[in-house]
Amino acid sequence: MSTSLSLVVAAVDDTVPGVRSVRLVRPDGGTLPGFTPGSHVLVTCGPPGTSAVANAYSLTGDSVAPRAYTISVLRLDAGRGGSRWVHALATGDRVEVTSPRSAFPPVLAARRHLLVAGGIGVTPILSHLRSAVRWGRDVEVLYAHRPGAAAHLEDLRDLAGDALTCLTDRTALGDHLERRLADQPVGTHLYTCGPAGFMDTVTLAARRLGWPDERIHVEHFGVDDLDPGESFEAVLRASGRTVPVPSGTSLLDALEGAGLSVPNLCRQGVCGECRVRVAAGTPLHRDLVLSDAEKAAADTLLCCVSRAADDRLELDL
Amino acid sequence: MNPALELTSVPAWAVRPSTPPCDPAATACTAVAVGAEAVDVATTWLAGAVAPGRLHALASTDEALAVVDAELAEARVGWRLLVAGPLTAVLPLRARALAGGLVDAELSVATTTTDDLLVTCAHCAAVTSAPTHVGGVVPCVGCDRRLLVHHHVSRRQGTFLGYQVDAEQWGTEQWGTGQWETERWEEGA
Ligand code: FES
Repeated sequence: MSTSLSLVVAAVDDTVPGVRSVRLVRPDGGTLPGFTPGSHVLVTCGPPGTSAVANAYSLTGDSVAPRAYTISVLRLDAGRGGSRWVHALATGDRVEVTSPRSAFPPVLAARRHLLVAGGIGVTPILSHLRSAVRWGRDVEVLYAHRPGAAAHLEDLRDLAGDALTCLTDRTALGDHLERRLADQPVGTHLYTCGPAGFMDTVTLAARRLGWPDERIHVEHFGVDDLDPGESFEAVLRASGRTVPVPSGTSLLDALEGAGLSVPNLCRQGVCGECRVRVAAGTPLHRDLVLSDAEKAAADTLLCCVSRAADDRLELDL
Repeated sequence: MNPALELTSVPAWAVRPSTPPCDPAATACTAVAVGAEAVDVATTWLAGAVAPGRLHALASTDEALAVVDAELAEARVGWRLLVAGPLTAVLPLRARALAGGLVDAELSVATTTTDDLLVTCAHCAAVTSAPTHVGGVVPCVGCDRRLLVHHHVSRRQGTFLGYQVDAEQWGTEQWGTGQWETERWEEGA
């Protein structure tokens, strides 16, 4: 379970079209828990107490003794409604968030940090850049964005100066990326955040240029565009009931449809709340929470995104 | 009883001579060979590499350490390093490369002989070089204690850990002390 914080909107900033930055503070104005650079919070995108979608948003502000948590949210009209809700917030509104979670930390022993952001993926990159500058670490930033629509561009310029390169077209990005990836002192670590296709481009280029996986760090915004998956049967240990899970329906939805209540928050594989124990069968893990070791152990799964590798899964429910 | 090797910090190449292949993902590579026999191993490693490579043949570990430092200062990510030679040479070379920021995937280690080990005394911190093996006993050059060579090799120091063995009292109590010494030693290493 995660600690939840009840915050209020202190300010909103809509300067960049389509992107809203929100400054959240404690109602008493006090200091908030500090966090590791690259951390995110889960924001309950609806009035407190209702069952609303929870989205993960990276914290873009100062990580040491913060007076506020700031997030920047791209409006996705075809999404589940979370970003639209953020875009409708007004100063003084209450917002529930979890305490910060770190899934994209900087490697402190790194000799240099190469930060590569695509679009709104700039948010955790900004957090990394702040800490690199604060501690005097060697850093370089590549920011790929559409012409004119660049969230936090001024912040990056102020912090990185000449160490920032902005790229607004695909070919230029590819060329520049190749050149810079090929010329980093050994001991550099690469961090990238952006749309899935963008991060694939970055990591593939890095691998092709001999970067070992230990040096490549990616931050997903949640599991985008998961395939519908194969149908399977979930067998509930306690009752012996069998719940069919058709292709395109999540295990969580199927369990809820069968009348079970399973704790959940994000419903997109980033929060870890919906973990259930697997008694038999092999899970097909698709979340961003479990470690490789936990996935290999195959005795739990996050039922909002993960499914069965075969046609049957027995659950301790 | 010793645990299986895979469960310890002792790599397979530290127990018997080995010649690893070069990572095909490399974009550049360097082989640092200590001793004539190591040059053969390094040549084979380089021949199997797809990327341009360089060979440094050196007579002593100290010379090789200086070469590793110089290479690390120049190297770009994508580079792979091979250190080849007797175990007493490659362990300190590996330690230096790791301290310089290399990760395991960027580093190959080849041993031409594993007959001699470097053993750090858990009691006086002196390093003894002697023909022995994991589980063997060597006299410490610093304090003259009889050291049991523990199945633990420091990534940072490039030496094995040895602690006093008392054949008569060998038992769980001694084992416990040894574990504690290992932790303390690693912290200070
Ligand atoms: S509900 Fe968040 S991981 Fe499943």
